[in-house]
Amino acid sequence: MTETAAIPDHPLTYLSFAVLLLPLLSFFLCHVIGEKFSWLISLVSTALLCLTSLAAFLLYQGAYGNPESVISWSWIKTGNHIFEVGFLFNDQVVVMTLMVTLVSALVHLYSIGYMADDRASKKYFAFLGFFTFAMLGLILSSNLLLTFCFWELVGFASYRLISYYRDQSKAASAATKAFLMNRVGDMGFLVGLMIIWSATGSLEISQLHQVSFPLQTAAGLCIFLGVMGKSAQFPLFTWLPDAMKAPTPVSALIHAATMVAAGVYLLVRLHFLFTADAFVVITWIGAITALLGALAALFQYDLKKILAYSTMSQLGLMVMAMAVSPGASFLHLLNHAFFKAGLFLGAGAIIHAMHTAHHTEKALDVQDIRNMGALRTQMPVTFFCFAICSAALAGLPLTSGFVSKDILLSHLGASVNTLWSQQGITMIIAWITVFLTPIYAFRLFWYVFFGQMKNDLVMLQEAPVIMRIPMMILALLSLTLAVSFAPFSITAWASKLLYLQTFEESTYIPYITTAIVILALIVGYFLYRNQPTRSRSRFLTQNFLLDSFYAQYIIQPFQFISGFTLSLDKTWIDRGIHAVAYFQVSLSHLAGWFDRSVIDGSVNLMAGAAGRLGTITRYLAAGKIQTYVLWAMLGLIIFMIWFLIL
Amino acid sequence: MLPIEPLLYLSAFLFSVGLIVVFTKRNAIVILLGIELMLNGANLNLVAFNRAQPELFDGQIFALFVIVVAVCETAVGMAIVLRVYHFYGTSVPDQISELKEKP
Repeated sequence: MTETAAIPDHPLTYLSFAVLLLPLLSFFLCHVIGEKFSWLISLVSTALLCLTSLAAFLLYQGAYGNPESVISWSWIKTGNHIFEVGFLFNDQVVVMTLMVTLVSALVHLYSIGYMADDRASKKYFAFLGFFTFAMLGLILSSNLLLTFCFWELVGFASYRLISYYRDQSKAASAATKAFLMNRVGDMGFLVGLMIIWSATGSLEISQLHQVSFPLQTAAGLCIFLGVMGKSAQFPLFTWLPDAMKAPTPVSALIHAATMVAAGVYLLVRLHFLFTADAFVVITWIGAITALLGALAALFQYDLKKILAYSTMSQLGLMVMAMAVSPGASFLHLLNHAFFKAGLFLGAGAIIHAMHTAHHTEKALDVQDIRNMGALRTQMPVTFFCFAICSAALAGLPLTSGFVSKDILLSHLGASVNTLWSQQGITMIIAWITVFLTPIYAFRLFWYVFFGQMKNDLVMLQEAPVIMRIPMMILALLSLTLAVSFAPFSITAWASKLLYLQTFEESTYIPYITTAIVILALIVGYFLYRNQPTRSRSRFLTQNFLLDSFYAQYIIQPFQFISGFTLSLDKTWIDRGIHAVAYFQVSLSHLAGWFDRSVIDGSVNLMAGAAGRLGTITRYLAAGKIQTYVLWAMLGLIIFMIWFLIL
Repeated sequence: MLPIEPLLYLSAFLFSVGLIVVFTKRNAIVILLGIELMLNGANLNLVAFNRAQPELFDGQIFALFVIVVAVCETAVGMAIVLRVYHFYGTSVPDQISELKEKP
């Protein structure tokens, strides 16, 4: 730790700056490049993001495997305390950085094709870069205050990107909703920071290891509130399905790399800060979220919303396992990022194709899976990529999802003593979620790619090459090979990836999982064989009525309170202010009158007197010779009288 | 021998008339006339008081000098009045007021 203001001279510093600032450069360049060269924007920003990935890879090479280190320098000096900013490196940070930059670069590449028809793509690419910048800042920062700044920037960038289709009012309201929901969480985060600050006097992450202070549970729960907002946990998850109004590549970025990952990442990062009591709450919230997300995904018909709820469910799993093994959660976060980004890019390709084919039919919902079917023959590449990513989501063997889910479940299982304890019940919920996941994944897959073609007349076009490449890369990364070279041995590579602990290898859990997944697939096949289109249940399709709950029990009371305070304001405070104002005005009038009549009057009086005197004396010297003679004569006479008589 | 008092009264009368003319008349020429009258009143005084020493003629001589100087003075004054009249078109001093502040 250096106390100097100068930025330490270290190769990792330069690399970190490169990683952090290249996306920001992309943001600025997108604004600088003129209308004439707008075709350049997508290429330039993609190239910059590829460079960022390269820098992140070098950073990974340089810092991976080393003990935790901090490069920092002073930022703000207030009183005796110096706030420091800097980069903190450990294995999680560099792996996360690599993942984020990689996904972001792929999303950029994909967006070249996806946004080819869009004229306003300038802002799109600008904020894509900005989003990545904010997330990277959040990851690399060594100070919680700085983390919070970037945390807010992530929220802002997501707001801009969700409302990208600004001519749709739903997109605008979805963006506002996401922003406000996150604000609720951020409030908690800020309060948590205040508690930590007042208790320990430091916000440096590296100094917060090994500390314990009063109110630590409260601080942890406040920070977890921020995580709930950002990572879409119950009950603050309702913004996530609405955020599907964003362009699909943005959804991929939000779900995989930049937005919802931030919350789980923060939990992993600050794992040491939470007390056992806080973890009880965290585990329960995670369990509820996982179950609700999985249930909601089962009953949705919107392609992107199914994926959104599945993200929610998977995030719930990660949060649930945080208490027993942050390493397992982190591994699942990484794997989830790749296969979920792949799924979203595939969904984007399908929507793009549907949109291109059906752009004449306004009434047709191009995101409704009931309008799709038998797409495997028309879009074979998308089909394969989607298949692999779905398998990873479902947790089929040989995929990355299988590995990380197994580790997760093993750790959950290892913590259970009796079945009727908190751990036991949450583990059962985790198993149910794991059972439900393949069902909805299968349902989505089956509706989209199999069955009867719904619109026989139009042929869908396969996505262009530039959109296919990122999908293929992500599908490849979703295979087990990318994580482990020994498919069924979950400790082979994964444990080296994560420093926290070596993973306990359970001999039976992989087989149970495999059995459950296969069972779920069979159940799913029999449930959805004929692609039924049942009527929707309001409870399951509309965020478990949480939206109307919020509207009725939170927004309405607030509106009532604000109306009341408004009337209070108008009747009493405004009146008081007016009275004071009137009093002031009258006083000023009085002062003005005094000023005019007395002060000005006395001045005028003196001036007038001088004027009169001047007029009189001027009369004596009026330029008349005879008058002068008269005065001279009078003077002479007076002199003579004085001289002769007296 | 004529008593001295009537002479003194006459000279005082002449002087006073001249003074009043100087004060009251507006035309510069008439003012010059008033000045002549005053000089004459003074001359009469000089001549009258010379009686106190009849063997000398100081008073009469002084009166003669005064007359000569008065002639010169009147000539110069008339010349000035003439120039002024040419220049301003008037010989009334009150109307020549270019330097005066205009009301």
